[in-house]
Amino acid sequence: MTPTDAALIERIAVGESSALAELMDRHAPALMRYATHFLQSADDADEVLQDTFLRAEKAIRKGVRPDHVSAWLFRITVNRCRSRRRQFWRFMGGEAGEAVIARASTPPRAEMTEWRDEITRALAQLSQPTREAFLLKHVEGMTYEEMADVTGAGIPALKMRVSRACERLRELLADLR
Amino acid sequence: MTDDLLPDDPLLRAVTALRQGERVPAGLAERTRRRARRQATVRRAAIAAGVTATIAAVVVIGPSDSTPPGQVTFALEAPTTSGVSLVGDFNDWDRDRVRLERVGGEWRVTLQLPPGRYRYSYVTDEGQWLSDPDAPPALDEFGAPTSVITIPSET
Repeated sequence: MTPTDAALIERIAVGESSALAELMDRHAPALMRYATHFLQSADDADEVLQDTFLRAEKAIRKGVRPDHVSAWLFRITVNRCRSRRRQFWRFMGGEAGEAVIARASTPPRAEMTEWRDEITRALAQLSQPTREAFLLKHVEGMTYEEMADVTGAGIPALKMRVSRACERLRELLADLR
Repeated sequence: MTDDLLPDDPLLRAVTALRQGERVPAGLAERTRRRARRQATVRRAAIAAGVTATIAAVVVIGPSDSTPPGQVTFALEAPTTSGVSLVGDFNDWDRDRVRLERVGGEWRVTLQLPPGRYRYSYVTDEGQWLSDPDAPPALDEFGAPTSVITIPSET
């Protein structure tokens, strides 16, 4: 029988490392997908996930017992992604710099179809908040209530960001149809 | 309204591609374990050897009791990059001077540094600048995130 998230949390709390690995197997694919699309870098996403699970493990051992483990892990991941991106912004000099990083970080064409390459470039054109909202809503399939819990933003603001993201992406991808 | 994508919405194709999503690189659990162990090792070694490292785990390993003074191993986990350079105050931030070698899932290089305080970063061959995400940001004069290590004098 597959253990529940709550059961895994209790095993992690007493130091059972295999339980943390099970929790990763269950939740890492969605977190990795989000972090990679947000950061535009598989290596950065990998580091963010390591950081996320180390922080989660530490919190669990201190007594934290999240009601919704997936949303909790997403909240940590979203915050770590924001923090990592802020470092790059400072270095590269704002959003224009972010686009430079996104281009530099785009995997070689041989590793993906041209279509996915273009989607990646289009995502890089979105501002950080709109990209975040779009990915959570349409790629991860969250409700606005879940998104508000994960991001700390209000639902009206999130709806506006998703709407703007969709409009902008339709413009950017229109020529490819 | 754009909240839900209708079947004829061209954006649906992009979303479908994105949902097929990214593969988790093999060994995430083991890399996370190694990172936790390095964090503990570095903190113990730094305290024991009197090295003031405002970096944490991913970046510098050692020194231990048997390590010559000033010898520092820099290590970075970047499994998908094709190469990594170390740049810092000790090599005029020249990315051609210190290349890391791939050792298992890591990139490593060991340097002998004279006493002093050094700022440094990693640069991947894809052009990304990386510092330790766990370290408090130590910005250089251009606002770049760097890591910092201080090698004490031997007195």
